[in-house]
Amino acid sequence: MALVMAGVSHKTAGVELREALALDARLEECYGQLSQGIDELVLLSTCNRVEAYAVASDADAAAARLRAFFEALAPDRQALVRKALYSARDEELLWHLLRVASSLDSMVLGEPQILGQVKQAYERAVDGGRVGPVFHGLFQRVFAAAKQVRSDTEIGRHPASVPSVAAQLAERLFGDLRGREVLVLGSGEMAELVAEHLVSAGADRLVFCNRSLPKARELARRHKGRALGLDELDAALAGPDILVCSTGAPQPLVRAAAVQAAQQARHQSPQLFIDISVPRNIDPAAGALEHVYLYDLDDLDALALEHREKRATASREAETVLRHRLRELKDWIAAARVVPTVSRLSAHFEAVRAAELARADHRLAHLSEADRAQVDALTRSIVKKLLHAPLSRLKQQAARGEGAAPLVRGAEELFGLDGKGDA
Amino acid sequence: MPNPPHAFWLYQAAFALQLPAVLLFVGYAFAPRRALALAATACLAASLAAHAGFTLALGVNAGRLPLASGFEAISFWGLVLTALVVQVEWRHRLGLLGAFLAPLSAATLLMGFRFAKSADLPAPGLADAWLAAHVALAMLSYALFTAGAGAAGAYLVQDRQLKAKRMGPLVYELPPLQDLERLLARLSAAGLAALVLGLATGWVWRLGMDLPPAAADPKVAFNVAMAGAYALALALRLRGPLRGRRFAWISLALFALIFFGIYLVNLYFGGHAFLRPQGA
Repeated sequence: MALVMAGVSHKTAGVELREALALDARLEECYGQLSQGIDELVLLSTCNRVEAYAVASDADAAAARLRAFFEALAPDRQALVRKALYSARDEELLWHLLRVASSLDSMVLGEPQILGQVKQAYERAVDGGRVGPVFHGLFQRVFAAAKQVRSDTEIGRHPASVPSVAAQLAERLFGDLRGREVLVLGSGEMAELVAEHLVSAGADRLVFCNRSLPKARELARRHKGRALGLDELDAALAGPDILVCSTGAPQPLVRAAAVQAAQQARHQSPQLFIDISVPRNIDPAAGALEHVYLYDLDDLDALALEHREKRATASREAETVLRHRLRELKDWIAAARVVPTVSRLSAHFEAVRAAELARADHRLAHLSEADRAQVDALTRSIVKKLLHAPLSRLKQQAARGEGAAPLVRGAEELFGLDGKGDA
Repeated sequence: MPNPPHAFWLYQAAFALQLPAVLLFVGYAFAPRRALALAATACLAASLAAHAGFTLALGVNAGRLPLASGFEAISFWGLVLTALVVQVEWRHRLGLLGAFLAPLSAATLLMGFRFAKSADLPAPGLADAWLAAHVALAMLSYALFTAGAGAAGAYLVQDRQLKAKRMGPLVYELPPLQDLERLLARLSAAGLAALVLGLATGWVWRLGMDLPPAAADPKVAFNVAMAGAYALALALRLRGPLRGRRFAWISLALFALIFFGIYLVNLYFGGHAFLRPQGA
């Protein structure tokens, strides 16, 4: 039994090639194409990687099949695919899968989505009947390792994109965002993205303000909010707990004096202002007010960069966790490798025992039912005792990772388990 | 030389256990490892157990509620404060809030040592239930104000980091700014309610005693002034001018006034006027 994988990722292939190789729309067809010579299969397809993980008895043949499969996905770009394709086997595969699921191999280090995507890929393979005992045990252990990385290290703690940093700031300031009002000033894509992050963090009252009222209404309709014209901005400033600003106006639209008046109107209740416009649209003097927390694009970028550095540091701790998990996985895989031989050997002995008992059946005809049961139990016990030492040795050797392969081959040859027969 | 209170070694043990807790919590503030906060909370819980054992032994030995002397009152203050810190840490696992509160509870116990040596028999009439309620409520209010001071310190740290746009590790260890502000306001309001009730129960007790007017009692005057100051601060917070950072600073200042004020009133005026020797 061998573990084989092949695939491309953001590290080896550009977005165009990844798009060409994406499996989502043709997943069932792909599973069908990879049925021969592959015992177990999980196909993973995300924006940043397309990978196939397989269990096969013939590693070389399986690796060749996976390579051919990927090349066939983009027939007009085979040379590019060959260049971008990477593969791994056994221990190298385990290490790769651990890093992928723990988001150490992601484009944005520590991003939380990848674990869900690997789980989804595994579940689809389970639904399709392509997961057997090896991948079942292996993926469960990989998921546990990835969870441990997230809980024991700070890899996922620090958001690394501008919208997620903005949402985290809001949570650090207000805690629960339910019931908080968010005013989105302008129709910039980034402002909308920030607003979406705030909504997913719990904010549930959105107000859209735009120079063009129809545009504000369109945004409000899309996000189930309410719309305001720019002329209503000053009067509306007392309402929002969070203001996200992204317009193309050449001068500040949110004046410090208007913010001060709004602060008085709301009894100095704090406000978070996120200004992602360039040039800035919120008067920087507003940030000097005691209860106004003003962050511009540079501030958010600096925090995102700082967070990425923290994630990089945490990734080293994460690798230490994973190295420990890798040792456990290797032991488990080694033990899993001897399971088929153990099963076949036990079945072989049982078959011999049953056959001999059947042959002796007429000579034992004079025995009572109770005596025959005794003979049956006696022969079972003899077989069990005979098998105990070799099976234990096989399992121990495998568990110690000392290479149970020679023993497995020996056992299979000696007892004719390799399908070659005993002549 | 007066004898130390009964089972005083338990009080000493409770104080000794607070010291590693303070060190561990402060260590946690610099290197936020969960194990440090857990060890610190365990030390505080052990201290709480020793302190509760001391209070129980003191009460059983005296055959009354152990709230009748300056030392017993301060000891109760420390006991309630430690219980508050343990409860907050146990339920909310904040870690860093302990770094603000544990030194205050250790300081309260330390203050108790100053009064332990003068903790001889309480004055006659001090075993009354109204008085016990008065002392318990007053000490409960001090403990709540102390916890409020811890929350105020945490608020100022969190506010400074958010204003300075630096997300240091403390930002994640402390509760959100608004939660801290609400916690501080609730602790202050609860402390004020306990103090007012404490003053009221003390006044009821005085009715049955032949004592000089309460206005002439420096400790009563001090506590009435503190209650007024807290009430004013809370009212101004509600109306806006004292929100957030200003309320946190005012809470810290009022707490410092209570902490040192009580100490000084006890030290220089001998506490309540009726406890002073005749002619003093």
